[in-house]
Amino acid sequence: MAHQAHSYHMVDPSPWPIFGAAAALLTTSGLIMWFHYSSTTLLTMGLLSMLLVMLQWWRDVVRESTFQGHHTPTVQKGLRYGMILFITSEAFFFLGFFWAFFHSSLAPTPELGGQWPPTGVKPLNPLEVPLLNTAILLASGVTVTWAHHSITEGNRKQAIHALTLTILLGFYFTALQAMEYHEASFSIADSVYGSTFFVATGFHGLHVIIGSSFLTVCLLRLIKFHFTPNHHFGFEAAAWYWHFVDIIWLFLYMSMYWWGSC
Amino acid sequence: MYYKFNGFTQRLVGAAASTAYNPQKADGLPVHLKRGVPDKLLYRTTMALTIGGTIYCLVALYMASQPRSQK
Repeated sequence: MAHQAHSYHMVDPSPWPIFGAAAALLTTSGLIMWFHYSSTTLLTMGLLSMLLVMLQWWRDVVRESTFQGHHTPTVQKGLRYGMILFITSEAFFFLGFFWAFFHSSLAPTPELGGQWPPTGVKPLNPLEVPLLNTAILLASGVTVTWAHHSITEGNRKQAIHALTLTILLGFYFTALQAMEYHEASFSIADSVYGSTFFVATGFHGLHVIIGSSFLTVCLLRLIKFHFTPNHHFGFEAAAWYWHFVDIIWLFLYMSMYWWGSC
Repeated sequence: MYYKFNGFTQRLVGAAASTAYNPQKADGLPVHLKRGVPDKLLYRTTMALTIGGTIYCLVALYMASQPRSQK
């Protein structure tokens, strides 16, 4: 029986990377068919296959780590680097949208009435729901840290309570933001104000939903005893991602909601 | 699992965790097929969707690239 003489993980051959690439092809060409030919078949196939690939790929990572024991400290170090690099790339993604916002708002064109917010645009009051949303996300940052400390201290009941609370706060934020979108007096089509506002806050909202899903999976794993006080990187990765989502919101709030409404 | 009623001990067979799937069994199965039938079904569904979809996509893109017929 062969044994490895190193601490890395040589994974079993897997179909998920190439199926994931195919899913990306179907999703992007599906968007084209939807925009130009009003057909949603390809897009549906793309999103469905993307979901299936994500579920099975990440299920396999849980099998390899929790059930087969392949995640040595060396492997975990690589995963830490990977998650940090991924979050950094997401930060650059949002940087682009902030650039677009400042480009248009620092020197508003005559077509906008030479002012920001543009003539006729009534912005959302930053001291109403947006301020509540800020408090909600800050509180969720506290509860996820509470959950982490509970895990490292081996306190199962508190960890489950704290993580559940974090997820509920995330859902509360999403619900409030959806209501704000519905109630806003301006739409995405209302000049570059609408474009920058809804694209940036929209992508942020998508990341809140992704982060909430990641945390929910962690809660299920926590309940099923997958985490130990010393080894729970899946949870740490979810917590890093959640803090990132919170920080992006703080920048959105300060720039678009507060400064951008004066 | 099933009840085995013949013999002196009447017991439930196949309910213990050790008779369920063992993720560390050296059976040559890759991790994405380790649980057997449910894994195979999901894998084949995903493959059908992605490969079928890719073919459909190429056909749709070929048709979309044709110039529109003159009126």
